[in-house]
Amino acid sequence: MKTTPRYVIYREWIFLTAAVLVSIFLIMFNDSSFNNTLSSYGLDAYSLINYDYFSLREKSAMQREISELKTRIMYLENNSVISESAIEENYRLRSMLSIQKRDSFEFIYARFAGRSAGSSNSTLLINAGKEKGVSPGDAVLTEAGLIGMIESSGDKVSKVSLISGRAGKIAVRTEINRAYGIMNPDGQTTAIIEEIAKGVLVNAGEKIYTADFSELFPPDLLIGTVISVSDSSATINKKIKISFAQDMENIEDVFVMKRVEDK
Amino acid sequence: MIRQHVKFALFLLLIIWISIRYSDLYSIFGIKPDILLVFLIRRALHDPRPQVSLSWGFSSGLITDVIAGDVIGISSLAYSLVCFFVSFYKRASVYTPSYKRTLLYIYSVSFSSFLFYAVTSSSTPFLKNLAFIIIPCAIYTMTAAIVFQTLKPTR
Repeated sequence: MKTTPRYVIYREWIFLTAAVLVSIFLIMFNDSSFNNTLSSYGLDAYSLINYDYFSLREKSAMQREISELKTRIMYLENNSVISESAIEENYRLRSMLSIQKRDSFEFIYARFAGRSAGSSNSTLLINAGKEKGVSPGDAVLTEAGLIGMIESSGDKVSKVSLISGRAGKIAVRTEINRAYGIMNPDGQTTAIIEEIAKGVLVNAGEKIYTADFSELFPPDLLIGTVISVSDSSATINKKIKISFAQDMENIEDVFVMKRVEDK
Repeated sequence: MIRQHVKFALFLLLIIWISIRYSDLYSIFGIKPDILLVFLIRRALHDPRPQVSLSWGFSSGLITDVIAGDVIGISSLAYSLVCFFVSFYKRASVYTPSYKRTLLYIYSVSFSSFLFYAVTSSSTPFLKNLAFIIIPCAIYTMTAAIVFQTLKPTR
């Protein structure tokens, strides 16, 4: 049997060591600007071949969707007329009391363009990038609620880190008592909220929003609904299980929430 | 030789594109097979040069991570190790019977799945991660490998 020369084996092991070291280096500095730059180049390359070949919908389905949207616009316009006067009054009172104005946001529409190849479903690609003003750190939501944050963006495609993955450790508040806690994702559909004292009343079915003081996400964005509340742990805190408002498996249309600077 | 490399590179790019863009079509309850890994193992089983297999594994893993990965570098690490050792084993053995090949697939897929999801799903409790993501994903990938092996057997 032919044997492999020793120098060839050494060379192979050196190659393996180099590949492992480079990979570990990239993993360790995952949030570095180098990796973000690398990622934005990757997204630019992906945008060249990203075309939704199989989404040609039937005319009747599109007409139905248009009529539903028109009805919805009428309903929302009616509501906005009613709320506009309340908002004006609110602004006037806030300026009289010298309370800081709330940040204003604009919404950038985008569609699904891909997702992480693995089963962890921790990232999502959307077809809006720097050209539309999307930048890392912007919150991403659907009609149902918050889904994640822009991790890196190319010119036409951006990568969203979902709240069911690594971006899910965020400050949240409950709906009724406005108790603040820390959310930790517990899987693709659920998360656990900790650091809320046992004395605070939280009910199943109550909604959970982003906290007012969160530096990552704008306040009052819907995250999910309480499924169960447990007081049985040995700590002084409750353990609250929630289900995400948006099914992370079925995301088609999203909105990037961009902070608008006051002039 | 160069032509074969170019063909395989284009084929891998196609697989990466399908697994990023259309993986929802073949996902079952959110579990997807790692079809890229299956083709890399098949290639490594053909090629008894660990250095070449390692290059394929590393580059395709890095491309996947850079485009849609959560943790850049984890796929390249997993694929590099798997491809290297599969090729290494292939070179060391004159003949690989089907049961050994099956075991090789099981070890490789399980190792890759464990390494990948232990990092990318680290926020999920370990046992839940193992029961609901790592093991089902490894089984689904193995099933895909069996399907591809049945359709086009490797020697």
